[in-house]
Amino acid sequence: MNRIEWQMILKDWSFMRGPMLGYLGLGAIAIAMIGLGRNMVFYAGVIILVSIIVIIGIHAVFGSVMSERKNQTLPFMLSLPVTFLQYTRSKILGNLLLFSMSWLALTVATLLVIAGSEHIPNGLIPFAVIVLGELFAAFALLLAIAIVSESEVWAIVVMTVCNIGISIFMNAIGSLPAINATMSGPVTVWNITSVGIVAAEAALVAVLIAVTFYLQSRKADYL
Amino acid sequence: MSLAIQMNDVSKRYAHFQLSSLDLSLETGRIMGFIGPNGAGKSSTLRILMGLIAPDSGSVRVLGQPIPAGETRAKKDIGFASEDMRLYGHATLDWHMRFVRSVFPQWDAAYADKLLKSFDLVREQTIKGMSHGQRVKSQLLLVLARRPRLLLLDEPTTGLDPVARSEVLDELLDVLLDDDRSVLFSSHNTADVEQICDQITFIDRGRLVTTDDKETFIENWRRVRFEVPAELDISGLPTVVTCRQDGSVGNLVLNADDPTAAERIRSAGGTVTATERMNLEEIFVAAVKSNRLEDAA
Repeated sequence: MNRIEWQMILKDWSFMRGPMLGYLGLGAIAIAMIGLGRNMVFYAGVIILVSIIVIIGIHAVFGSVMSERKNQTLPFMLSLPVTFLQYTRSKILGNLLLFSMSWLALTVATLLVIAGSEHIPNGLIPFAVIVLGELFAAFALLLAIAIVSESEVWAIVVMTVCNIGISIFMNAIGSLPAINATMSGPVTVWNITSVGIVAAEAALVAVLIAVTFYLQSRKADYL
Repeated sequence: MSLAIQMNDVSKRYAHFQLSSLDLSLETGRIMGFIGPNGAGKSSTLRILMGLIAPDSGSVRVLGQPIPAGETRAKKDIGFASEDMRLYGHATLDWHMRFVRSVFPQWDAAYADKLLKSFDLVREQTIKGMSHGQRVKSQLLLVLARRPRLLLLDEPTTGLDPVARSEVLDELLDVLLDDDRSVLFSSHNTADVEQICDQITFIDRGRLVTTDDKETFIENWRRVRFEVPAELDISGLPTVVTCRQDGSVGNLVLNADDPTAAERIRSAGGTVTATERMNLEEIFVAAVKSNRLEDAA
């Protein structure tokens, strides 16, 4: 990473700083609702938290990747002394760092609230990590599709499918015997299934990033 | 003689368009007007020079750097502005100036301030609040204040009102006082090109039609009006670009001041009624039409 790539990342961050702080504030409220542990408020908190994390990813990708092409600011960025691959690297790294920081802050806060709450069983922690991991992988998929396809339509399709898939994924994971058996228990249990799913999510993120770089490196026309 | 731009046998194929065997060179310190109709390949050529499009074949060197291998080194000294380039709408011009300054250490703050005044721009104004002319001038300010050795300007005056166009061209003329600075200025507006360029290249349908010094074009090209009793035979007259005849009256466009054309008219029993110089637009139109007729034949 050279100095100009970092300048481009800082540029994207400065444009999104306000909304991201707002989302983190809403995320903090959602986590507080989860911490109350009462049924309706708990579930509302979960829905808001998941929505906020999804929105952070969508805002980051559409605000820094799709908008650059749509608003025709891409030629301006590519007129700087960077190659297209360096530009791509700044977009991937900038988005990953931005999303990771928000995701990590909300994930750590969520896990601390679960661990510290008397109303929420600690057995829920592996399930929460898996679901939050799926949100990260969905973000990486959206980022990869947006960068590679350069198509707003495809990005919207992926975004929609991922959003619909969240509740299906949660139900599917929750119904796995190895997960379900320990979810309501007072102790956090990491078994081969839960660790395997988290590892698969991490691997998927790594593969998506690598494939994105590979496909971008094969492009000949950048505008 | 050092070359700011050197393209050799460059080709690029698209589904419905092709740049064919482009050979283009620009000497350091020269200002080339790159004229062509819409869709002629001007923007594609400039994008290849910027490394934004990879050619299918051929070689490209810009400021001594091979493109795309030396793209980043070349781009440090290239100022690129194009009609389809936009700045960030919600950011101010001042933000853009600070951003470009952070990337280019050679940013000339005093010159940027001078350009702000001469372009009548307001630092604190957001780009989305600007008129088209102000946006174009902002773009040029960001390019010029970097003091690049090569300017690649893709239709920078398109859509500008006469006052804004004059301001932009005046500033470009000032820039061109520096002998080491080279400019490739693409446009379909021949008046702008005629005003600031010393070298002209015509492009049409992805192929270079002709290239020469502006003065050579203006000096050499002629329209010869004539009257002859029968159809004029122009075979064996290599300088005739086009010939139009309606009854006994017609005109020839010549790409050189060639007395043999007048002799041919007289030997056919006719008379030359006028010999006129042509402006760049007339030369451009004649050259393109002739090129298309040759293609069709």
